[in-house]
Amino acid sequence: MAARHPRLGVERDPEMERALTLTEPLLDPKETRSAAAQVRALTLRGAQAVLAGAGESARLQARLVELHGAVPATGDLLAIGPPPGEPDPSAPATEALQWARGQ
Amino acid sequence: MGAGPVGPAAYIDASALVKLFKAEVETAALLAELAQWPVRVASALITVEAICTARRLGGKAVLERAQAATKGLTLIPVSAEIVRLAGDPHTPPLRAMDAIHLATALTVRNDVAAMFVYDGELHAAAKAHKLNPLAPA
Repeated sequence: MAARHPRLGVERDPEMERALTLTEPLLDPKETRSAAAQVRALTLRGAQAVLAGAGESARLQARLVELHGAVPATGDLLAIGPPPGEPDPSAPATEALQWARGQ
Repeated sequence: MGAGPVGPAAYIDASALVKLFKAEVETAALLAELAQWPVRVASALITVEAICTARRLGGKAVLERAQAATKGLTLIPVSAEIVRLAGDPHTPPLRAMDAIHLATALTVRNDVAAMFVYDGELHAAAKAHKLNPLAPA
């Protein structure tokens, strides 16, 4: 039967074989009916374990991805640091945004 | 994955973000307050606003700051639901892009505890919707 979703190829190297062997007795029989099913079960359980161990910020981002299809931040906004120069009372960036917004 | 609600994020409007491109009077206060909010969320629309603003300001350094700044935001796509919500009548009346930002913030409001916005009309609308608008100065 054709798969409904794109498939993912995973190499059965010795490390993978060992992981499959060691975890088989620990999983539900439905999760080990095939090697592919077992890899899927381990992936889903692994994702939950990673999220559970992640910091609050990472879990919040994961929640936004799950609920709203968000694209997570890949950097830190504050890492850009303050802009150079003295504050300009004429607010050039605000004025440029107003131009960009057609105001 | 079924994760329950966790700590709050802050929504960032373009009127706040651009103050990180060129130093304005409020920039230092904004940076200090942003440090309290490790997860910063915005509409994906902000990437266009940021780049257009940076190009208007001119200079490679400003453009690079704008690109780096948007990478520090968790971006919410402009979904059909957000477009529908943005098309609802607002009080006070909003410009189109402000309406999209407001609709996006309302969509993620369960995970957002503040909205950084310096635009007066959007600030008022955010306040009316109890989105806790902030404009540090």
